[in-house]
Amino acid sequence: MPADAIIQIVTALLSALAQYAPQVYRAVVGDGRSVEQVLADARAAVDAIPAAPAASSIDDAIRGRLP
Amino acid sequence: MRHFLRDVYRDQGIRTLAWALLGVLFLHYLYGCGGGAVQTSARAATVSAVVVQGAARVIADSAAADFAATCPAAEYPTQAAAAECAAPVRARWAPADAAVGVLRATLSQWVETTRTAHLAGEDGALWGALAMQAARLVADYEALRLAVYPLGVELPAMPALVVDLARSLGGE
Repeated sequence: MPADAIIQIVTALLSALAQYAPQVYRAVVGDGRSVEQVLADARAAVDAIPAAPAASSIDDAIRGRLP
Repeated sequence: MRHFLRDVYRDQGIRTLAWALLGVLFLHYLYGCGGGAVQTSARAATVSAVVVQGAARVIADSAAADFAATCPAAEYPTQAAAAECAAPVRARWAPADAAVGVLRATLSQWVETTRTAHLAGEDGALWGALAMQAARLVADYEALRLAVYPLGVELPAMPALVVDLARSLGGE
């Protein structure tokens, strides 16, 4: 493939990526967080998953009825 | 558009940056996200957990809507009457709750295995266990999607980041 075509493709890609630069930057370069911080974030995200979402929701709805 | 590309092409600074970006993207393809395999695994676990959180919210809202439709407040105004009416609704949604519980446990194990791999200096022997857990997570999530589909809930597929990680850790 001619070098000119490669440059044009990459340039177009660059323009598109510039619109999403923050996500690309984090994905490619990393966001500066330590491994421990990333692990802590993963732990917190898992702990935030509710244990029984359907049952809890039904319980809440029942509590909204008359005593 | 053609003139724009021509002008950009003539700008040596942009050309240099474009080649540098190409190089960075190639390295990213080779080595994955910055920070090594542990960070990649932890980020995939976070992404998966957020997906499951979203699925749990959809399930909660759908179960509440099912209860409201099955046990209208006008017909079951009291808590006692509503609780009795809710029994079959709970039974319908019990498999979904069970599937979310399984996912939570699998993700928890995945995070702990990743932490252990980090402490052990990314010991290769642990990555086999991580690969199994990642594959199990993908399978467990599909089981959740199948459990709620008959109830009228369509959950999104697991992001490619997680599926690809499971495949790559498994050596496919």
